[in-house]
Amino acid sequence: MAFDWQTIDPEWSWSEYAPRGEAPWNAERASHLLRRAGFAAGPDTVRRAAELSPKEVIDGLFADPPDDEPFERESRDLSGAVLATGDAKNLAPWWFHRMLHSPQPLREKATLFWHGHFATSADKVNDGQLMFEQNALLREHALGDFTAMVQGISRDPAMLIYLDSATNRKSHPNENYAREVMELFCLGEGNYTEQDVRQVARCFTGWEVRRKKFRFNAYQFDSGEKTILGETAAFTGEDAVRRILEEPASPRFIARKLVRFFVRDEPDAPDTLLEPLAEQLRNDNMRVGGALRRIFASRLFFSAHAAAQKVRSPVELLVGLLRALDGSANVRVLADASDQLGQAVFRPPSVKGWDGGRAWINSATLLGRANSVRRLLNDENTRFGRGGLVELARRFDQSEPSRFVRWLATLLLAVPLPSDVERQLVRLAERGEQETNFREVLYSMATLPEFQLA
Amino acid sequence: MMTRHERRAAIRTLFVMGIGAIVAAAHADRCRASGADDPGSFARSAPDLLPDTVVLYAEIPSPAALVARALNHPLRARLEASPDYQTALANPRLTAARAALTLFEIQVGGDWREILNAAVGGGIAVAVDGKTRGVVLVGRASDPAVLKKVRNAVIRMARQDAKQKGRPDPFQSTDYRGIEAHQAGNARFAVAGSWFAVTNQSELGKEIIDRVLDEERHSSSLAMSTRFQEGRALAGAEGDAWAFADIEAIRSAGEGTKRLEALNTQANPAAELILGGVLATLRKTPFASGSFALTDERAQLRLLAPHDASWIGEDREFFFGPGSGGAAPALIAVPNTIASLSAYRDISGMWLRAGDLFDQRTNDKLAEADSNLATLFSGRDFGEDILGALRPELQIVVARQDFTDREVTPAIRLPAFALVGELKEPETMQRELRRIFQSLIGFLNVLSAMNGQPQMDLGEETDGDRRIVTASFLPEVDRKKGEEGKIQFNFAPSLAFSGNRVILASTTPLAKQLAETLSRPLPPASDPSNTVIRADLRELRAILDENRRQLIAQNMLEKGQTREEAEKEMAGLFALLDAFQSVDVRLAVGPQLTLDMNVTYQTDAAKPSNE
Repeated sequence: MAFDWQTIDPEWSWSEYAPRGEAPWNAERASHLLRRAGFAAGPDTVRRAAELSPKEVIDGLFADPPDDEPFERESRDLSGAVLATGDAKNLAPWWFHRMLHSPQPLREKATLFWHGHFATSADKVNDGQLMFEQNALLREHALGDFTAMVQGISRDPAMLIYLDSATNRKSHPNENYAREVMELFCLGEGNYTEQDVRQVARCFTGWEVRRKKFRFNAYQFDSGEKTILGETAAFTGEDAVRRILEEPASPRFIARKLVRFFVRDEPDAPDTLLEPLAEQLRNDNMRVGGALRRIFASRLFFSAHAAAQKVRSPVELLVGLLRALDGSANVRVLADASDQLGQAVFRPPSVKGWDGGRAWINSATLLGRANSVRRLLNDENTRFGRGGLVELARRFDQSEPSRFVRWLATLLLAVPLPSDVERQLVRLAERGEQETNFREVLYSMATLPEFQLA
Repeated sequence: MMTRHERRAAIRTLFVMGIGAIVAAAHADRCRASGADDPGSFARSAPDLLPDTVVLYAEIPSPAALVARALNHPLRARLEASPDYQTALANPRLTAARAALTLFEIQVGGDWREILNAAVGGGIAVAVDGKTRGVVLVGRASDPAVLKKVRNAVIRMARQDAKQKGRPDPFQSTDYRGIEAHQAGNARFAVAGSWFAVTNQSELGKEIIDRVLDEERHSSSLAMSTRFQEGRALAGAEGDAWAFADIEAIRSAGEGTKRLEALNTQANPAAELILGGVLATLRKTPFASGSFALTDERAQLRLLAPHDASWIGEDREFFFGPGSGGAAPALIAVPNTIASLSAYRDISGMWLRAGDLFDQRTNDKLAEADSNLATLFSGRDFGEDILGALRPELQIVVARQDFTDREVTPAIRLPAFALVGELKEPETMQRELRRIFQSLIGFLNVLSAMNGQPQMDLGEETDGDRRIVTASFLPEVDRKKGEEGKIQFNFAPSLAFSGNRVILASTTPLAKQLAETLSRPLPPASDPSNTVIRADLRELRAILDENRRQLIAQNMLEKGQTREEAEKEMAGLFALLDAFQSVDVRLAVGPQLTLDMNVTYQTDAAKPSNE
């Protein structure tokens, strides 16, 4: 029977999950949380999470880790090195390095979400530094103030260049950004009029990009009165953003996108279900952290309505496979593979970002996913726990073939491994040279239909 | 000729059976076989045992001495001190190999160095036979009794290993003229007196045994081949190893002809420019030989082939010059030179002869380029008027840049490079080239402006008869102090004139240095050569060191390494580079085509003072 949101009680949905007999807090649920609120976690992290309470794990996901400075310093060095080449294409491997190794996986995952939301392509911007600065802006506000993020994006040179809005004169207001800020970024279709677009465009007159930097040109600013969403004043660009975000549709729009990205691909959640989250966003002055916490702590999130109800994006597939096994790899291979599978980070296909969900999967991409995993596992630079897969399994006392298969399934899969498949994989793990076999088992598991679900 | 599979199997066999022997003769004394056990009236050498159908032959007359020199070499201490070497020692496979070696010592009785000195002390040779498509390793022991012990130990250990793994006996034995021969997989091997042979072809093995046992010298032996004797003489008696290739025999074999034809440069003008003359010689020369010598200061490789100017057609006169008499000017050196190349090449001649040298597709591309270049050069014919204005000598200089006084230091530091040529008519061409250069920079500025990229500022400097047209990127107005610049700040394209010389350099300082250097008389080239290259590996190391941060970042991204791992790998690379000082390559032409390559090691006395 097709899933119907209408049968789900909003109050039940967003009430706090409490471990109990039929829904215990265990390694599987800890894996689910760490997979959705990040890109999957290694065996140690999953074990430790299962020993804590869900609330403690969620608190940890939002906390700034005390030891992240070495990673940030290293990431700055790497970004400096890739930006020095002057080629924007080198940024993708840098971001994959972050996604693979960041001690704040939720922040990286949320940054990826906002990158799809405020989609901007380096193919058009053609400047690595500007794309890098936009990425930093998204990361800074990824779990924080949505209003500040929209204000920042409104004057972000990469975004303005991408939307052909590098100049905006009062005699001829540029409507591109005005339309997207309402349709794609804050309100959604049907929540504004063409008149609103024209009026908002007037607010952004004088907002320009000069020498790759934002500049307010007071001579080109239309200082007259504008009527936006029924309210009239001499609005500025900042005022326009503030006014748009005051609309009741705005928190609902953001809540819907958060639920689609973090809880379930489809169908889109109805307003009734979203209202508690929208209210939270309103109460938090559009700070998204509280709403996200509520999502991750909810009964809905840990229920069968959410588990395995998302298709892994190429980034989630590749980074998740490695993070679940403390892996490291040539991140250029990862970036290329993700590109070939349809998710080129820093180069989304359009201003609407990636469609996601079922759109990730078709017969060609399924084959492509298998080939990408094969390429990754065959690459000499792909390591697990800085060594071989057998070594990693031994470290966790999981090198006996049947234990190894079950252990992998717990770390990688959102649904139980079918018993006949498990038997086949155990037989595969028992044959010949162990490292080769274990990698073959990993390959087989990563190409199962079950692994495509998160 | 063998298939790739056969060749691999043969190489693997030879590696297992032979190369270990070479390496293991570390501290053995130079010990030539006396020939006392040779039947008949003459002392045999490896070429006496091989048929004259051998097309490739390489010999180490005294492997013990060579390996001893390698193991006592000053570089060894550097190698052993490197972290990578220590890591390699801990490798489980190497540990297993060392355990097997210890077992081997116990089986034969004695230290491996002594064992292998006795087993290959009379020299070893590797040959490829054109008739049987066989590969063979032939060697002579200084102590035949030890050689037999080695053979018995190898057979015993392999049988024990097979038994432990539940596999069948890997050896089949047979008798040929009283000599016991063994076969394991594709490898056949036999010991006959002080000689041993390992081959992948039975017929070749039998021929060798015949030549060991027969009292009379075979007239069809390789040693009696005229081409081989000439090749041996050409290689000279010096050196630790030498090799011979019967090019005529390879050419006459159908597959050999195909292989030579595969070396064509019809679709590759760059390869033609670099190798065209060499390949033309190889299509006519009867043989080639080479020698290798290792000393405490350097490794020297010399390759030679008979050459005749009449073999080179008019189409390739651009390479060697009329009558093969073209000579490269002396190498130019400026401070921090990483590499300097000097060659005789009539590029104009090559461009105009393109129709004879390249295939249709390449010619179409060249014609298109010619048309575009003619536009750029104000309608002047690129091949005839522009390239033709230069004398047929080409010089390239690559140097490390000094950013000390630069306003902007780029994050990635690239070397500067320059092309140096000599104008036939400097009076008319200098003005023309200056105008073309200025137009080109203006054109690039328009393109950069269209793409939002930084533009260049044109300038001109004069110092006596030296004139330099410069172009430099302007620092961004809002640039923060101390901020590293983008990659384009490695470049400041400049065109300089010094006497008859024209210099097109990637940076103004290099253009100035070269103009000044060329304003003084250069010392004449030491020996007339076609091409001379000198690379200073200390400068290469220095520029890599300047980019160490970038290299570490690249390793972290591309190899998934941690910073510590990447730093360690870089340290290994630098330790390796520390061991070398320079590489010199020289191609000379006369009655022979001679290619010399010398690698000079870094001795402690030659180390830069700042290290």
